[in-house]
Amino acid sequence: MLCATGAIAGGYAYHQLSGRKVTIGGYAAFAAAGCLGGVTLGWGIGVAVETLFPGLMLGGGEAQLWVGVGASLARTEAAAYGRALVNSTFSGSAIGLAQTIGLISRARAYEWFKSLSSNFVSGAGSVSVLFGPEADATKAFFTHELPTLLQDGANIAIRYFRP
Amino acid sequence: MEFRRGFFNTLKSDAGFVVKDRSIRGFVEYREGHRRAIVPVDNDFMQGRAYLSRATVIKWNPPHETEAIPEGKRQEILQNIFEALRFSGGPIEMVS
Repeated sequence: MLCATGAIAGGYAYHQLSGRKVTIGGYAAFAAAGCLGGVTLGWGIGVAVETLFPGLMLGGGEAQLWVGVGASLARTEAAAYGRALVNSTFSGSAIGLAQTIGLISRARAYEWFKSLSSNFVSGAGSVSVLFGPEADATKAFFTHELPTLLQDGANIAIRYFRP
Repeated sequence: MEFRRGFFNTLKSDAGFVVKDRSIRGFVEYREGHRRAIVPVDNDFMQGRAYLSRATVIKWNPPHETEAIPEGKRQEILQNIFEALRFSGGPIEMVS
């Protein structure tokens, strides 16, 4: 959507700027630049809104948490039921991308995720937790997330995963 | 074992393997010659730590997916990934 809007704007800008000499390549280059700009701008706005209003991070949707299972299982579960993971928010995906392309270290990404996770959990009215065999009392779900959820009176659904 | 850091958090070892650190997204890509495997890594964002399980099942990606990985080799791959992630800078722990 953001890409398409940017691409149309880019194409229109090229049409206006190029005068009579228009080429397919010119349209394509401006549309591609518009697409990239649209995605970047949209992402930036998303991160800014999530930073200023953490409660909007989930947009009234359900959060997916996991404990004692791998992130890939939680991702599959979230995708199947339309839930949001902390990684899939604008801010989470921006941190993931920044770490992937080497802009920030893993240690720095953890620092930022820690603060993001706190906001994510505190803004969740409804949460589904995937429990796995490696869940124990030392996990972040019990030490950080559950106390916040209980304090906020969030609805918590638990599903056990057996490998 | 010596590592060299490449673009996009790629860690190249002098032992002949390459690890792409995507641990924040829950996996790493391990490459040895033409063989490639996606290996899951668990994260605890609140404690700022990654976990690599000793029990992790590893399978090569196509077209080598039918090749069985012997237990010794599986352990070696996990150890290689552990060393690479330790080199990459964030806290990492091998768990049972």
